[in-house]
Amino acid sequence: MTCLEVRERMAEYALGLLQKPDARGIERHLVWCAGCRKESGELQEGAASLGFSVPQVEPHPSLEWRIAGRLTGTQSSRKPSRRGFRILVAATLAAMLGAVGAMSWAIAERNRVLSIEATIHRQVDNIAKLQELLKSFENRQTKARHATLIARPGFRGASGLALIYPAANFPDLYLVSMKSPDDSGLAPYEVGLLDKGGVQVAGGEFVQTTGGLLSYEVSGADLSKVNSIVVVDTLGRAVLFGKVSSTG
Amino acid sequence: MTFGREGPLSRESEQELMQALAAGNEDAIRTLYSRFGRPVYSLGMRLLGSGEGAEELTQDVFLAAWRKAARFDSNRGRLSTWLMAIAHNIAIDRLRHERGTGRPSLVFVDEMPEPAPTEEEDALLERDRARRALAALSPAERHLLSQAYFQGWTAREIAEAGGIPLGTVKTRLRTALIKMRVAYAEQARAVAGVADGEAR
Repeated sequence: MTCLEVRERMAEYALGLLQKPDARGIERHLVWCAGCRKESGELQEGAASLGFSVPQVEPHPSLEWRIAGRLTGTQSSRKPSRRGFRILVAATLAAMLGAVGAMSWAIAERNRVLSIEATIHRQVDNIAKLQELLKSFENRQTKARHATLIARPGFRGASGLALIYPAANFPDLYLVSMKSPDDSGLAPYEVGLLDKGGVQVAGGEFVQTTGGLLSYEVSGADLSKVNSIVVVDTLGRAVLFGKVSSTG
Repeated sequence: MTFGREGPLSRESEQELMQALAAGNEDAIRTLYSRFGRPVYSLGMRLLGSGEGAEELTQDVFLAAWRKAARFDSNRGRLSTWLMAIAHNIAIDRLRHERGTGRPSLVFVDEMPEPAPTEEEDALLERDRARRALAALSPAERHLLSQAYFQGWTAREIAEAGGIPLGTVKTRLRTALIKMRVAYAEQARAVAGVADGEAR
């Protein structure tokens, strides 16, 4: 690979987005090219700092000794006399894992492309369904369920309102509007509609409209199951939360 | 040989720590865990959305670090950067494998309570610096990095979803990462400046 080719893909490399053969090509180049290595190191520092920004969660205290045990246990099996055997086993495993990994990657890639296409189709479909749905409100007695979304501690100034329109013969609709916190939340925000067990039934990103941040979807899911609504920021912190009213 | 479990490590100390890890020194394993166990676990919670996934990731990251320890070169980058890159790569691989065609579920993480100011730890200070750096980016840049780093979308997927030329996405990702790094370094300098002032 040339420096130009490497630099074109360096941000993706730093973010871990490349397929393994492409990443290996860049790594081979970085072994001998000091200029690209310097730039790659800088971009990786930027990526790593994203990793440090996430909410800190304390792991179970036993995790430390389990890791120490696993590593020291692994070492105890590393007897010099079995070195050749180990290398052979490792090489065989690596080849097997490589083959399985390549297959999984191909399947995952295909699925992701289908997923993007499906998202685009869903959005186009949403607009058509929304128009149909709004017309249908003229002819039926639909009672909206609603939730007032309250700011979680640390997110002063944030607020929101959610409306859910369940319907027997039509797709269900939800609308969530929100006001960002004064100074603490980090957009983009995402909404999740959860059932009693906390499992996500529907949800999506917010879009900026002239009236503020809005998330909506004409959903194929049964929104009558929705029990609560949570809005999270880009770090995964719950910014807003609200319980959905049972009726009207 | 013993290693300090708090305070910044010099590049030489990082190299010595990884040499000791490669040699199977248990004190080195525990030092590495005490410094980076929680950030790695927290990244796992954010990306994979479950304690089980985060624990598995943390174990795999430390195992990978031990296997690669002999190749670590502190002249090429900081230990924290190296370790978080390993963690992120493993987590993204897992995320892609598990997600398939399914729509990604919302992940929300309950942050641990803030410690008293006197007990502030390096990891929490680092987190605050990183957050301030992230807040310094434009909403569009944050959105782009969020799609790439937290959701594992490739540049091509971001381009297709947003209707943006692929080359533009790559350029914007690079620019956003550089801005993030610069803002993070500025935050670190500002903190060091305050500490120097207090020392005088």
